[in-house]
Formats: sequence, structure tokens, C-alpha cells
Amino acid sequence: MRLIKVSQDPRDLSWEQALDQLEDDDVLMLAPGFYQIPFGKKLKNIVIKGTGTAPDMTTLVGTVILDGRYLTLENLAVKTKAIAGALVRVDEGENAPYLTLRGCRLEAADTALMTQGPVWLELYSCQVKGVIRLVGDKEQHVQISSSEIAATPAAFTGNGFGLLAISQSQIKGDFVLEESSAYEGHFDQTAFDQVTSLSEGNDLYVTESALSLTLKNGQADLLNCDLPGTALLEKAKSAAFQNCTFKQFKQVSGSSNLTNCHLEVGEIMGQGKAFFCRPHFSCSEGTWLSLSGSVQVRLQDALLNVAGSHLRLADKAGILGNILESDQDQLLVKQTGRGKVKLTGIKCKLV
Amino acid sequence: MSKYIKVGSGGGEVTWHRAMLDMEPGDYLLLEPGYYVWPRGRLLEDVTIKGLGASPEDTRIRSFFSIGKNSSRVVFENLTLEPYGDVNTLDLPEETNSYLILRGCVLTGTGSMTTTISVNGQDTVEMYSCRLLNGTLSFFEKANFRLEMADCLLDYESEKFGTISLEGTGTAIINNSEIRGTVNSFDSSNIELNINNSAIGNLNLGGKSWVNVYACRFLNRDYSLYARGECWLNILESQMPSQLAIEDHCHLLMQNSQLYSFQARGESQSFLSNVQIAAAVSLEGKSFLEGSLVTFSGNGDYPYFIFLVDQAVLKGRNLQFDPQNWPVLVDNDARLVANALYYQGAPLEIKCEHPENISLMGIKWTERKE
Repeated sequence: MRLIKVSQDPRDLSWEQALDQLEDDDVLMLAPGFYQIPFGKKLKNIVIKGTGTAPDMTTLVGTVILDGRYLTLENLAVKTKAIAGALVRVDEGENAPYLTLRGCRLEAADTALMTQGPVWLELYSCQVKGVIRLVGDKEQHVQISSSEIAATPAAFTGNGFGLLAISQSQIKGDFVLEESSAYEGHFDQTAFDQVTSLSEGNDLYVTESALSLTLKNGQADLLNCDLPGTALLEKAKSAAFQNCTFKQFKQVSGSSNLTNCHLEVGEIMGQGKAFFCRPHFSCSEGTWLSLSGSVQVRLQDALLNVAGSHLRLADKAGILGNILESDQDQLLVKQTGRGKVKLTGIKCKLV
Repeated sequence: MSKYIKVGSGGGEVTWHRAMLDMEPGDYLLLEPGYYVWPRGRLLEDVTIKGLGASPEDTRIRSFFSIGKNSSRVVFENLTLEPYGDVNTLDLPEETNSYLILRGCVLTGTGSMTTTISVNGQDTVEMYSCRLLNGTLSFFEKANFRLEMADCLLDYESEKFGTISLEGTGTAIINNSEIRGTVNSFDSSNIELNINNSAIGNLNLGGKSWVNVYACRFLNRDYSLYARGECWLNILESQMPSQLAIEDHCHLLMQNSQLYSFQARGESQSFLSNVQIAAAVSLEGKSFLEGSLVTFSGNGDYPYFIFLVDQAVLKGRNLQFDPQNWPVLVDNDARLVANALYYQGAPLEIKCEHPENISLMGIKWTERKE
């Protein structure tokens, strides 16, 4: 392992000399400045560190291609003038390479980071402007912490399988796990614009985060989360929400289990089931809970703050359970179907 | 086939006693808020135990659990685990190869040498939004582990025991957490430790520990980091309010950080860039330090603000000296070779045995006589 100082100082190596003489496990210490990466140059098994007091002071210009066991970038920025292609690319190798970015800024026109095979990807305290794409049906381990990823419409897309651990980060743009993916996601204290899981192989465990969620197939377990947009469940294998706050909860089919959740509006349709344990509905107009299809809903110890709004049932949808407390003496129910309504603890009035 | 089993005493639920007796791999135990005691302890294999309360303290379990050798995954969520007697609360023995996942949990320890989470096998421990109070997390010599921690608080300051002990082989990743105590590795350790955006009491490292510290704050006022053996330390953007000491064959890379004092011994090698040292730097043995944009200050806590003895070498470019009238010692065969940034104070006073071992550009210096 060698520590190599790279700068304009004649006592140090120049960038070109350093690239020519690279050996495995070298640590390049770059003085603040701009460093052009030659077109097609592949990097492997080295650490590149910027020595400025901020990442932007040391900038790599061009495309960083990892073709080896590992590459670590620290305290620097990577930018390109090219419109197409990924800013940082991990080529497919025999073994999963490690790409670690610590305190880096990536600025791309479109794709900031793309991996094409199995990979261990670690981003700590990074700012990424551009999409992160995990391509290929391969094992991908991703660790993102204290980072920001921003791109539209999608900020992150994944198509493989493995562990995604994301904590204290911001994902501005869609976070999409594609149809053939099978990830286990652990998301903690992270703000997502939109999380979309399209595969039944995905298991998402989310803690203390803010997100809009679209779950098609798959499984999700959310604890202490805020869902300020729409939570849409379609054929979810299993969805458990605990101590969560919903603006709009919508279940098209599948089953769900909500405990200690606050909801403004709920809409449940299809053939599934939903179980609400100690829910708190707070809605002042329209329908606070709309049920249709053959869905069966159970309420346990519900708290209702629904003056001016009503419960709607259609088709064969039914509801049973008990109301612990309500701001109304009577519960307004609009029923157009034949389902059972059996609620104790409050009088129901058909309207 | 997974079974969801609701446990409580509200009617229509399974009792805790029954649930413990009948639990099978694949089961999900959903515990209504309450206090659950199981003095006998329990072997767990592929089960999930969730508290249904509004906070982890609403659902408390007082017992101890061992992970079985056939287990691949055990999950605890939104509950408090209290120790029952002087036994490890969660034990992963040598033959295990399992995930242990803790989400939104509180674990309380015994405040003794009995560890709260004990790992001996080929296990992965994941902790998210958890608190470990008055207890320890230990990976032992036979362990081949992975630890992932985010948003956790470990509150146990002890002079005898490490809050997190990393023996054996493995990787530990600690993000956005606060560890009020010591993170230890040992002479037999072969580990990678990544700590990011966290507050740490201190690090006491040995063996082959490959350590990356990014944007961390150290809390301990006695020492911040001590490393021996063949540790590799990469520290960025961090603050150490007390001493950083390395010896043997340790390597240190430190950037954009502040520390109180620095001590190097043995054949250690250090490279510091844009680092401020508030009180003193001390190099002994064959230690070597190269600095760039490093500020060396004196504050009177040490008789010399730069202390070089034996065959130690301090080499640097664009260094800043702020002696506050405290002298430098360059004794024995030690060497000081550096150039300083603009300096307008009084000349540096250097006590030296061999003035020819000193080459300072950009700053005046005088030989200090006794």
C-alpha cells in the first residue's frame, strides 16, 4: 500500500503520472483542483481522496469506471459534461466489487451511478444529483446513510436482489424496485418522495420515515412512519403498519394490518381483508372509510373524529368491530350493497 | 406456514404462556401492550415478536432468549427486553448462522459483565432505531459477524467493559448513532469498522482493525482513540476533544479534523491534512508523521507542544505553529523537517540535542538553553 500525493507541486506526482503508475491498494491524495479522467480509463483496487476542506474543491471530470475488487472515493466531486452514460459505473466482474463513496458529490445530467452486476455499494454523506440505477438480476448490497439523492422522475431504480439499508437520507424523486427485484429493504429515518415496489419478492421494513408508498405484491412493515401522500396497496402479500399517520390509505386487494394508526381517509376495495386495531380516523367531509367489492374490515377499539363525513359500503363489503369513542352520537353510513355492518359502541344511521 | 398469533389477555387472544409453549418457526407473535415474564428463557428459531403498543416501553418482556442453530432470522420489533437474572438477554451461540433484527426496541442490561447481546456464530445483527441501556453488545472470538446499526443509542459508560466489543472477524457499520461508552476491538480481532455521523465515547482498538470514521464526534474527555497492533485508521471531518494515540504498526490518515493532542509510538505512520491539534503532538520510537496544513498549538497542558524523541520524524508542508510561548523538544535522533505558513510571532524555541536534525523553513527558531 502506497500513499501517493498528487498535485502541481514538483515534489509530488502529476495526475497523469499517478494514473500511469497505479498499483493495487494505492491511496491517491489529490490536492484541490480539477482532474480529467481519460476516456475509457478503468480504475481498480485503489482509494482516491480529495484533500480539500470540502468535496467540491477536488473534482474528477469524466466517467469513473470500476473494474476490479474495490474503489473508494472520498471527499471529492465527480462531474461530467457528457449528457449520456453514467457518471460512475461499476462493470460486471466475477466477484461483487465494493464501491464506497464517502463525503462525495456526484453531478450528472441523467445517470449518476450505474452498476451492471453484483455489487456492494456504500454511500455515506454523499450528495447525488442524478439517478442511481442497479441494473441486472444480480445480488446487490446497498448501504446509504446521511445522503441525498435527487433526480426526476426516478432517483433510484433497482432490478436485482439483496439488502438495501438506507438511513437518515433524502430521496428526492421516485424510488422504484422493479418487477423482477427481490430486495430486503431496511429504511430508517429517511424522507422519500415516493416508494414503489413492483415485485412480490420485495420485503420492505421502514422505521420513522416519511414516504408515499405504492406496494404491488410484496411485503411491507412500517413502524412510526408518516405517509403524507397516498399509500396504495395492490395485492400486497402482507402489509403491516404500526403507529403510522396516513393522509390517504388505499387498498385495492390483498390484506393489511394497521395498529395505532391515524388516518384521514381510507378506501378499501377488492377481495382482501383489513384489520384496524386502535385506529384513529380524523375526517371532516366526504367519506372517512369507503369499502367496496367483497372486502371484509374489522375495527377494534376505533376512535372516530369524523363529524360531517360518513362511512360508505358498496357491493358485498362488510365491517364489524367496536368503536371506543366518537365525536358523534350516530355514525352516518351510506350503504348501497348487501354487506354486513356490525359495529358496537355507537349507533349507526343509514343515509 | 407463517402464523400470526395475537398475544394478550383481552379476550380472543392467546396467552403469553401458551404462546411461549406452542411457538414454532415462522410464527409472528403480536404482543398487546403489557408486561410479559418468562423465567425459563426460550430458544428462538425464525420467529418475529412485535409489540403492538404506541412505543416500545408499552410492551415489555422480561426473559432471555437463545437463537437456535436452525434459525435464519429472528426479529424483535417495538418492544422492551429486560434481563431476567444474570444471563445474556439475547444469545447467539457458536453454531448459529442467523440474522437478528431489532427495530424500534429498547434493551436494558444488567450493568455487569453479563452482556446483553452476545454473538458467537456466523451472524448478522441489524439494529434500527433502538436503545441499549446499561448493557453491552459483544461479538466474541469465534464470531464471524456483520453489524448494521442506524439511529441507535447505546448508553453504558464503564471503565471495565466496552459498550460494543468486536472480537473475531467481521464488519460493523454504525450510522447516525450515539455510543456513550467505548467501542473495543482486541489483539485477535480482524475487523472492519465504519462509523458515520455518530457520537462515540471513544475507540480502543487492537489487532487488525480497519477503521473508517466520518463526521463523528468523540465524547470521552480522557482519550478519544487508542490504537495498537496493525490498525488502519481513516478519519475525516471529526472532532476529538481528548487524546488520539497510536502505536506499534498502526497507520493513520486524518483529514479536516480537530483533536486535542496526538501521540504516536512504535513504528506507526501518520498522514494528517488540514488538522488542528490544540495542545500537543508527541512522537516517540520510530514513529513518522507527515502533515499538510496542520496547525500545532500549545496551551500549557504539556511542557512541550511538539515533543519528538528517539528516532521519530515529523515532516510537513504548509504547517502552522501557534506555540503560545511553549517550546518544542527534538531530542535523541528525532528529526523535524518542515516549512511553515506565514508566522509573525516570536521565534520558536526548540530544545534539541542535534540542531542539524532540524530543518524549518518559513519560521525563525532559536535553540532553547536550560
